[in-house]
Amino acid sequence: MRLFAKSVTDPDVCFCQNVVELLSGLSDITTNVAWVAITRRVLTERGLMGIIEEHAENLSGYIVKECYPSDRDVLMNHAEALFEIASSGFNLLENPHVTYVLSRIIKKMGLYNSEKKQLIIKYIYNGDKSCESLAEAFLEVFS
Amino acid sequence: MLINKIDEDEYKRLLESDIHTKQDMFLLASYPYVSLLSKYNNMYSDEIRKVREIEDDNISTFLHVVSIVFGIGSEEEISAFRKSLNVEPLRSAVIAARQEYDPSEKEALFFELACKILLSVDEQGRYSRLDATKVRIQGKIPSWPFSTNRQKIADEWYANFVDIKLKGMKKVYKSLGVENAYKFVVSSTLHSLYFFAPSRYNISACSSEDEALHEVFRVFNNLKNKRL
Repeated sequence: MRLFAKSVTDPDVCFCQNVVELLSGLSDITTNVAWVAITRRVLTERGLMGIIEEHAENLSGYIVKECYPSDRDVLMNHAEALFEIASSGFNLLENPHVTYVLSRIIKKMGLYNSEKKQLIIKYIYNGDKSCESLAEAFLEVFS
Repeated sequence: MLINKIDEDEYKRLLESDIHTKQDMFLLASYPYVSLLSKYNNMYSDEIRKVREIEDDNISTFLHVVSIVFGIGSEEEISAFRKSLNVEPLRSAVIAARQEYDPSEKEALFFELACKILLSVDEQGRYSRLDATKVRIQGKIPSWPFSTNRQKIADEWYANFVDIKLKGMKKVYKSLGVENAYKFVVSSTLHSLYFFAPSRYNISACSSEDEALHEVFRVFNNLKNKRL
């Protein structure tokens, strides 16, 4: 029981929590050496590293409420960062456990199906547009 | 013949400055660090002997691991190493190195991570997924009820030793390439071996520092083979 935890409703903190949740999935298939390097690169490239630096240490003292950015571009950037972290160095089709953790997070984010499909094609089928029908079928996992 | 060494301040200064020549490289390699034995007080003679053996074994393992990672070793060892790059924990080193932006750092980073990962695997082949580069000493340091942190001291010493050698290796790699990076690690390790126990090595007849370091390597190997 977290008696003294602070309830927080903030899209940045929520993103931070989602990254941690995803990393717990990745830590089952690889070591900290890989996931730290991947996460640092992806978040730096997407200008999101500051969020992690600001909130990661305090996360254990928060009860994080689901909260997502209202700006569609920011939301997509967050979702794409999570997809990129999960798929850099690993094939998501061969690691259903990581795909499951990722889908659990993505489901909560309120993305449109077209946006999810776009991310599935880009990160699960390596941008291969001929896999559209496969991506369509895969969409169910993320819905 | 005397083998030269530099102190910690000089080592730190060199590590922060640019390395342009082999002379700079060999100067950096002449920082020996301190022996594991110097970390302990009040040890009995049989405890001292045991600590010295553990120190030797771990330095020998370090040299062996670095050699394999640099592609120097028997065909079986190199082939086994290459195969293991596709599975954890070594796969992590490959993935992490791929994330590096600077192409000149990629390979050196891979060498550093691969060495640390191999040195963190214990005798049963276990490693920590959450701390895969935490280098641990192999062998049990003799202890008694009131000296429980001796093993921890040894782990810290070994982690520092490895870190010093690999930091220098990365520096040399960037300026002088892969061959010199390997030479640096070997030279630096031989300096450490000599200064950790100078009385073991008779280098008075050697005419150059290079010859003296070869002699250190020869005597060290002989001592190790005698124990096996």
